Amino acid sequence: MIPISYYLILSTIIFTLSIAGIFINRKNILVLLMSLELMFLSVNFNLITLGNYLGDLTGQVFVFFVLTVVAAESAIGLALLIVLFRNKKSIDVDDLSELKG
Amino acid sequence: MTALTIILLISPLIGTLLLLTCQNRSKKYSILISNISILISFLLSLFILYLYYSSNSVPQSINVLTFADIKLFSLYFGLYIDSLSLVMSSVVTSVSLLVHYYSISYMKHDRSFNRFFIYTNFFTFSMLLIVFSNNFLQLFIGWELVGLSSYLLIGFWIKKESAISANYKAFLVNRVGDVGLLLGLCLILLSYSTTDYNQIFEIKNSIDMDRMDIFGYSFSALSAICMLLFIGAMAKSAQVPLQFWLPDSMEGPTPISALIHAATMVTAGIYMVARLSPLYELTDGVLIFILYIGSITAFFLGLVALVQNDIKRIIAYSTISQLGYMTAALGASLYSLAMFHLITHAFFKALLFLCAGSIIIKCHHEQDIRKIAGLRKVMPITYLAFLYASLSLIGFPLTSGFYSKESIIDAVGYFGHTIPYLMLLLSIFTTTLYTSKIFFKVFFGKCSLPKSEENNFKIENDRQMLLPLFVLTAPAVFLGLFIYDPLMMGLLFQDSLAANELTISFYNNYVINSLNFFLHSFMTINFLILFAGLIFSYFYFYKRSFDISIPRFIRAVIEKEYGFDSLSRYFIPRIQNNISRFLWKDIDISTIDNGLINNTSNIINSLSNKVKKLQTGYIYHYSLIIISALILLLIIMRIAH
Amino acid sequence: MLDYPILSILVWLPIIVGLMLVVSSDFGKSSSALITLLTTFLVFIISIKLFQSYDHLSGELQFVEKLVWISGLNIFYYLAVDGISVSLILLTSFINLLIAIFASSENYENKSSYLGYFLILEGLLIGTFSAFDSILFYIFFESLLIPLFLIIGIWGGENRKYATIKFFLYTLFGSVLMLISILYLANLAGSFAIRDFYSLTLSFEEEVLILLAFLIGFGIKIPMWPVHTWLPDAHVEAPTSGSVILASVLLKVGGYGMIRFLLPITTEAGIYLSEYMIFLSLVAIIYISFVAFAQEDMKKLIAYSSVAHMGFVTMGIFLVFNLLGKNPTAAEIGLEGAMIQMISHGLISAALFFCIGIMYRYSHSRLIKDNYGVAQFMPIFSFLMIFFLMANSGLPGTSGFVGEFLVITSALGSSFLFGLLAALSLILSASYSLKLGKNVLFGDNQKNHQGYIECMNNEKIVLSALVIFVLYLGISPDFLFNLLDKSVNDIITSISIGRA
Repeated sequence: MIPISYYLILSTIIFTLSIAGIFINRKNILVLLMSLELMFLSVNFNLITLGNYLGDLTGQVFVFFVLTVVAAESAIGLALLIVLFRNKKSIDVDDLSELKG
Repeated sequence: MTALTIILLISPLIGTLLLLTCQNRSKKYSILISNISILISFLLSLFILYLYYSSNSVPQSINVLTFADIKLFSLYFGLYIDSLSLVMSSVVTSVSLLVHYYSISYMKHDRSFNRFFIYTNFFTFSMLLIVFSNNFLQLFIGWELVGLSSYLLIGFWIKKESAISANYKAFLVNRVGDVGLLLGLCLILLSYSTTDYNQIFEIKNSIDMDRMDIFGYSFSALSAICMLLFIGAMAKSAQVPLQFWLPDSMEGPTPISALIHAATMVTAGIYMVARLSPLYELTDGVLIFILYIGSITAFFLGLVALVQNDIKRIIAYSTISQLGYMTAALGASLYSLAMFHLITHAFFKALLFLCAGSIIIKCHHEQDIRKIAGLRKVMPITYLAFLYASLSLIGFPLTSGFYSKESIIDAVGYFGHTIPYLMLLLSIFTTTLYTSKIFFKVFFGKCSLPKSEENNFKIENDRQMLLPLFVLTAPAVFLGLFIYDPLMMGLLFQDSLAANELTISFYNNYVINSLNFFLHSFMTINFLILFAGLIFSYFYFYKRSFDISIPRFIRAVIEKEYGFDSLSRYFIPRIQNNISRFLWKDIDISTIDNGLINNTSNIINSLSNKVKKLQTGYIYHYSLIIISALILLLIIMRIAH
Repeated sequence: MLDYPILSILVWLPIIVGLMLVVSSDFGKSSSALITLLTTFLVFIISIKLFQSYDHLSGELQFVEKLVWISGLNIFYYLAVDGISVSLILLTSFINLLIAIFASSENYENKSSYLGYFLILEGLLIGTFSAFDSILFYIFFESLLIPLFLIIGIWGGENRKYATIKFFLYTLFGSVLMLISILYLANLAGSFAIRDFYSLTLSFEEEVLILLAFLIGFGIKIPMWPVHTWLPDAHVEAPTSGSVILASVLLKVGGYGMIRFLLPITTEAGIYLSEYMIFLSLVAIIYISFVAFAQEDMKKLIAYSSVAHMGFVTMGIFLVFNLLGKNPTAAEIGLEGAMIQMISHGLISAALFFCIGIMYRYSHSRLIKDNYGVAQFMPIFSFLMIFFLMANSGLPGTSGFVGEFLVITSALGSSFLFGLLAALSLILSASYSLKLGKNVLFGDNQKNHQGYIECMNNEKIVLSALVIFVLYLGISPDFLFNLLDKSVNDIITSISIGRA
């Protein structure tokens, strides 16, 4: 039996990676979206682990909800990305600073 | 009598309104309306005056219409019918009628013929409003309305730059006096809670004790009120130091100078003080002030007339000087003499101005007496009229001016006011000089008109312009003789003026009767001075047998009107402009608006400019901040636990 | 008393019609002008009806409409009038009628919404003058800014952005302070009805703070020196009718608020600070008159002259504090003078802004130097304008005189210096008013580059109606006195009783 802390550490590593992916990555929005997915994944991982650990199914059920939402979100995100690309001819994060003060 | 007086008062107003509503009718129509309305007033004045004396009436004060009556602000249209107001209204309407008649031909080539008569009719109405007023508010309203009509009439020729500056100046200087008058009026309201003359006359003794604080000094309320009211009179009657608007007001049409700036409006101040004589008698110090102001004006402004060359300006300065005589008489408590001089002056000065008007028309609007000469043959009637008016002005024995002016001088001397007496005495000399200066320069010497017009003296001027000269000559010369005795005995203004006993004692002890006064006058110093003045001017102006060079410095001082000229022309406008610009540009815009208000917004602006730099627009900056803030929060919560 | 809610009709009728005009752009120019004319005329008739059925002999609030609006907080929909409100409502409806007549010949893009905003403004103004619940008052007071903001912002001159933002922020700043003190008072009183504030007993420090908050709030609106600088900018950029309504009615909201809130609520603090506030008013009268003299822009000149005349209003109000113990009659005179000055200034400044608007149409310039010799081409117009300039300088016989006269009298009752300084305005106001007349109307203009021709008939109607009212108020201010007397009396006595 692998101790639960291993799972949790793995999930933290994935989460940290994804965060790093968000703000170290300056090139591509696609990578950004992927990092987001990864972040969700790490959360899901946590949910499953802890659900199992506590013997409660709710956590695992919730993962399905989250997966659905994530799918929808990434669909919208990709759609936005396409529109953005159409207008800007680029998906570089550095080019997107319209909200600059 | 009341009904007739109302008609008398309203008639010029109706004339104004009729003219106003029918602007596009013919000239004949305006002539008819304006002259008839004044004629009605004139005839009624005479008639009521006759009624008043024949029925031995007593003064009555009637409130005809109440416009507002709430606590302090009670506005009545009221009438004060007594000998003073009736005599004054007769003078006003008669001069006004003649001037109206004269103006028909004087103004005949003017495009705004109709407008002229609207103004003059309105002026006559406002003047009568003052004359018949029985309360201070009506007085003030009339006071301002004559100011308004004078403003409109001085600037009658709206295209003439000098005229529209002159009327601006005249109105503003009068406003300075109005401040005094208004404060006096407000104080009356506060102290007595009424504006009615009679009620104030009745309670004046009981409140004489009231003291009031002005800038830490304590004054008797009545003296303060009278002083403030006199400031109003000083501006209207062109007394030092508020005299400088009057010469400039000569920019208006000449008939207006005759009507407003010689005969009627400028005497409103004198009339007001005479009307309020019961109050002035109770004050301390104010009368002495009035006396000195009057004599200083009479003497020093007479001198200024000597160095002027514009015919109308000379007469204007002469008017100021003569008004000084009246004021001096008021100051010496000789109210009936002041009124007497007011009446005679109204006639002879109006006559002088109308003559000047004829001369100006004949010489094609040339007003410089150095360029006018030798008109005696060309304008014989004007010449004679001018001669009589001048004699009256210098106080040649037997003329109206003689009786009124000499009495004032002698009475002032008789009651021991030495310094004013000397000043008044000396100004006989200056009066003689400047009068002869116009007379000799204009009527004698080589004719200045072109040859073609020189022999054309059959048409001296329109008959309409000559008739008023004829008519005015009579009162200008003879009126004094007729009313002198009753006036001096205190019969004429018996119930209206205070301190009649002074005049009567002067009459009984000094004058005895008019004939005696006439004979006596040849032995007085007055006549000597007059005679010397005549001899001097005969040789100086006519024969030119000698030449006097006045030191340039003195001449400059006098020509500049003792600095009042530059004061009014340069300093006051410049000071006002500078203060205004300073307050506007430096304080209002730079300090308040830009300094306080816009700077606040600028500071906020620059602050937000700095803060907004945080908003880089890069998503990874935002997420970094979010995450680090989250971690920070967690740490803090951890520590807090 | 009437059996229909006359005040609600007066408030909501113009607002509803105005909204209709704003929303639907299908109305053509002439039909929208006609609708506006009819509505303002109707409102004017109703306000005359209000005046007629108002009982002057009672100082009580009349035509009361009091409904609970938010019951938990004791906020009411509370409309009522006293004499002071009635006079201002009459002024509002009269000026709006004139604006409707004047604007009927004007040509604007999107005219129906232009006129619609004026109608909304009218309703809101009447609401402000008749609201007796502080929150309702505050809402009306604040919403006034919106239509005016749009009028200046959309149909204004070149520099309109700067002017509108300045105007909006400036006045909003003041009203925030006002809102705070209203909330504070309501918290103490347990109700938002204004009359419930009067019976509060406040500590001296509280009173001073509340007084300052209200003073800034209303002082900006009126405007007092030194918070007046938004007014000239707003006037210069506003279209003619906007300037008219701004000068003649909107400024009065400040004075009205002072009478409603400052006088009864913060009496002790007011008595303590009265001399400073009178000093501020005197600064406004004298300093601003000088500033007005220096102006090169006609509209700015009249705007500054408005500030100077409003100085008399604030002075009359603050004199009440000063005279309360010493001379109650003079105090009453001062307050009545302030009210009459407000009404009279409403008429005169409106007239002058109309005049400037008419000249601007020909010369396309508001600068004094670009307009000269008007009198040669527009004699009737010039006659009327001279009349209004004279009224502006307080000529007796016009309404301008009555208010100033009463305030000066009241000031003399306090101290001679105050009276003297206030009376100086006689000279100063004549100097700038007549300077305008001298430079613009008179003088020789041979070529007539500006293309002046006599003004149109509807403009003549507007100006002559104003002449009649200015003269009527000047000669016979009786009806206004009767209207105000009881209410003013009540305010003064209630303050005196409150002190005792």
